[in-house]
Amino acid sequence: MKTVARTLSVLAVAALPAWGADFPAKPITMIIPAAPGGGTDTFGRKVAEAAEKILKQQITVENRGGGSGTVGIAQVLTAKPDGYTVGFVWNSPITTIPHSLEVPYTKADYSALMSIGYSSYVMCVAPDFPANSGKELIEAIRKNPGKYTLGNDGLGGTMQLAAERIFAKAGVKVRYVPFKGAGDTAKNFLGGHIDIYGGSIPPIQQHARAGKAKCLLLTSAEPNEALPQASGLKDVGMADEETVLWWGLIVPRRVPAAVQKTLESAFLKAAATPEVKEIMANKGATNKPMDAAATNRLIDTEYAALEKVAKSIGLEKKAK
Amino acid sequence: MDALGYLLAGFQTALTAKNLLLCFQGCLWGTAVGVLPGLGPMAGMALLLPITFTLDPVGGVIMLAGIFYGAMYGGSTTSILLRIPGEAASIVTCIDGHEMARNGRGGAALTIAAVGSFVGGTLSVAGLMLFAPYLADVMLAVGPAAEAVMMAVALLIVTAVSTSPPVKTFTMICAGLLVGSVGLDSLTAKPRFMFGNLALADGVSFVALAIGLFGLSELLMNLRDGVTERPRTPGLRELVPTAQEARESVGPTLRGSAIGFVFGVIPGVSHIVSTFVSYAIEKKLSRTPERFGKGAVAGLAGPETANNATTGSAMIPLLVLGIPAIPSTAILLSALQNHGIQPGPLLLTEHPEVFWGLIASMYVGNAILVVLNLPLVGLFVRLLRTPMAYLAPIVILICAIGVYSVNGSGFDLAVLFVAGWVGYLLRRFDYDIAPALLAIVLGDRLEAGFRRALTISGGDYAIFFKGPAVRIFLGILVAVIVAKLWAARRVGRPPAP
Amino acid sequence: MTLRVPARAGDFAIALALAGLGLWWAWLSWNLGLGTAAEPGPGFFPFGVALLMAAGAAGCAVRALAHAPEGEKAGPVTIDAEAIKAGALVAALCLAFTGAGFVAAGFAFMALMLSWVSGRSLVRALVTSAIVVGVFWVLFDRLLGIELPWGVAGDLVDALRGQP
Repeated sequence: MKTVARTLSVLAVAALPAWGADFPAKPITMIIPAAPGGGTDTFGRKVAEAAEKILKQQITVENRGGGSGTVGIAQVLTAKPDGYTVGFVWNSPITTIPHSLEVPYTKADYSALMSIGYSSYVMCVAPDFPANSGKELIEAIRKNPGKYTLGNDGLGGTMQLAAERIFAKAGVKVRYVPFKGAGDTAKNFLGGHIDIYGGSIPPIQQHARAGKAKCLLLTSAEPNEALPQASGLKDVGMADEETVLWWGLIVPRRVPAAVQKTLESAFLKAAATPEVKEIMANKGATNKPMDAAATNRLIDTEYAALEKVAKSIGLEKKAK
Repeated sequence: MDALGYLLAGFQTALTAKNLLLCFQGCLWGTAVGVLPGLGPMAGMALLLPITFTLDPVGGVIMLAGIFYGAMYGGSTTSILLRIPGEAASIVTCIDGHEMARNGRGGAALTIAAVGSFVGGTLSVAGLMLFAPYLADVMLAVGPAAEAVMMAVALLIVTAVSTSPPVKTFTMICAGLLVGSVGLDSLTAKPRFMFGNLALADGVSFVALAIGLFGLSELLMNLRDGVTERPRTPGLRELVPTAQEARESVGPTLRGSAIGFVFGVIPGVSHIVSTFVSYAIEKKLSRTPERFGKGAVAGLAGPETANNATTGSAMIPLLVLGIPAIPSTAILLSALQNHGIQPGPLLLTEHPEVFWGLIASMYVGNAILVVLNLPLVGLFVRLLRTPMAYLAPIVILICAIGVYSVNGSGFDLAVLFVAGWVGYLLRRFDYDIAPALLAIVLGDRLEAGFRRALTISGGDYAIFFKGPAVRIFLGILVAVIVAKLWAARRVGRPPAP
Repeated sequence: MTLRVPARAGDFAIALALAGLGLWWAWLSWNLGLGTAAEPGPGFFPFGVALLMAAGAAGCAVRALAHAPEGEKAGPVTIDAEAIKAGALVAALCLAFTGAGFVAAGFAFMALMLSWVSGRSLVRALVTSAIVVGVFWVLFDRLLGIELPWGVAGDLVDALRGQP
């Protein structure tokens, strides 16, 4: 059936002038630069499902993992710029990875059309750690420079840069121990092998509720109701140093403006549907749709800030 | 909390017609992907994940879990019949399982593997039910240092029990660790030993290496003798283990269950380590260690059971801590989260129906697998009667398709044939390949654990001798070395190389 | 075409090759940056392992010289003509798999394995290959959804059918 529908729509396209107002006249391919099963994949599929109904067109989701997301993005950006290939991405391969790896694209190659919201990273300590708020955590680290170990998702990754950004501003020092993903970090944190957990919220949330961890500082400006004890960066007077994990839609820059507009408004509507809100809430993320202009501004400030951090900690660019 | 009551309720959930069907589908699909070289539990689950979004949480997880242990189960078939490990955990099964098949006992080997898997799977589910909360603490005690020590110990134990001379095995292990270090460094993302080839960014394809080094080299070696004679006794008797084979498999099966369960708790690659440890222990306990590598029943029954016994305990970190221990359980985690269920310390109280429904369905699934697999044994053995002249090219084609299907990459195919050549050459000169493969799998985590531990201790190597978990692993190593020395003294001199 | 390699010399040569590989790898690791024990760099671990491997391989080389092979291993190690031919064909299959496409490469591989390596009649080889490749294509591409490459053969078919 699908094949028949696809063939019919391809024929329909051939019969029409491939321009503006009739977009979309055939199925759209959404590339997700991550393996199936993770947060980006889950959200991307849900958003695509919702957008299908709005655009009245089929959206085929393709997973292209590898290279920390850069491989899939490169594929989106080398596709024909007709709007029928879009990428649903998280921020790391566009604002973080380019500082430590040579990537085959620059900011000039893509337009961000919208973003659906964010999930904060959080720093947690053991119940007997001598601090009970974000401020006290920073003070405790200040008293013992270089003593505490902070587990994170990989050197040069978004979590490490987010923490560096905060600690550089505060002028304090920790030692970074990289793990493979937040789950691995959580396990080593709960086993007492590292002092501070640094990573996304879901793996640690239940342990915080069960009293096995004190989550003290978020990397977002605002606090998060899932972790009431944790301070937002606003509370410690560093609202400008926010670095979060967010998700959005990109297309090649040369996609016609009218098509970009159509996609933007459709996906903004899709992001606000109850289904998308629910799945984001389930995974501890905050639903906060933003339009193209706001998302591009966010990318610019984040890129510049992380570039500065990466340089300050001596992350050199490595030829891939 | 009344565990028994919950379990009964769990059985009620698992035995509804719909969930039973889902469980059966999962097992069937899992067996299918497990039998095909190249496709493992991970691929099978990832392919069906989107389907489970439309099911209710219990149904979806039951189906995914069915694929998970179905694939672990199916992986043994090609290992025994063709010496092609479907996934890393089947490497050890290849060694004696395939020798049994060559001796005309392929049917018996498949039956022993199926029954062993059933016993291991069932016992470990029982263990999961009884010990889950306590074992979670054990798991947490294993930090980076202990992880590194565990893997180093596993590799050294392999050196001690391998059939080839220790110095050759040691060299092979180092070679495996080096091959495992190709790709982007997992801690700093710095490219290593890639020579500018992007296809190597995620490392050399393990599937291509395993199939090439093991399966392809075997086919190349057998082409000649396959043409002339293939000794085997036909008929039903071939499929059923003899009374002696059955007796020989009881002890290893029970020990394998315990070993698999204990190792399964440790996250990462412990299901692979458990198979090697079980093999080593059976060889040490055996009164006829010289038969190992030549078709010893114990060398098949123990590791194959251990492999499947890890499936139960691999669920413990996931269900009790919300932390997936191996990639396959990470997919289960994702399925649960999509339904708004976050596994963790509160799962048992907040969603008891999910926890116990899953446990009950694992009992049911293990039974389904035996029913599904035993009738297939006859079919698989008949396939082996195909003359080698036809069988070899057909199997090579399937291997090529399997390797290609993983990444759609021509480069992986080049790895496949080079690995086949190298494996053939090394085996001709009495180098044991299995330890190298084990090292390739473990290398990444061994190195990561080693470097993390040093970062945590600030460069102090004493961290590798501290803590209860580390000491237990070192104790095991000392015990194995002492046993080896003692055995050598008893015989008078080390076995002739 | 069967190769006969004296067991001792072959053993020694392989050990030397492995030792060389170890030293080369150690040099590569050195260039990656060793870091310090407190902050191990990317080359830290492979450097140590590569040195161990070189040492182990040197041990193998000494052993090859010191131990006279006994029993069945005393004679030369033979590498069968079948293995050499099949090894070459497998390499050709793997290299042509994406370029020539599965159908063309698989068919040629299967036919040559049967006729050239195993000495079956040409007709038999061609018929068997056609059946096997056809069945596999249906099974893996159509039923299991693994997209097998068509390569040059696909372009040819398209050209014959008059499609771009």
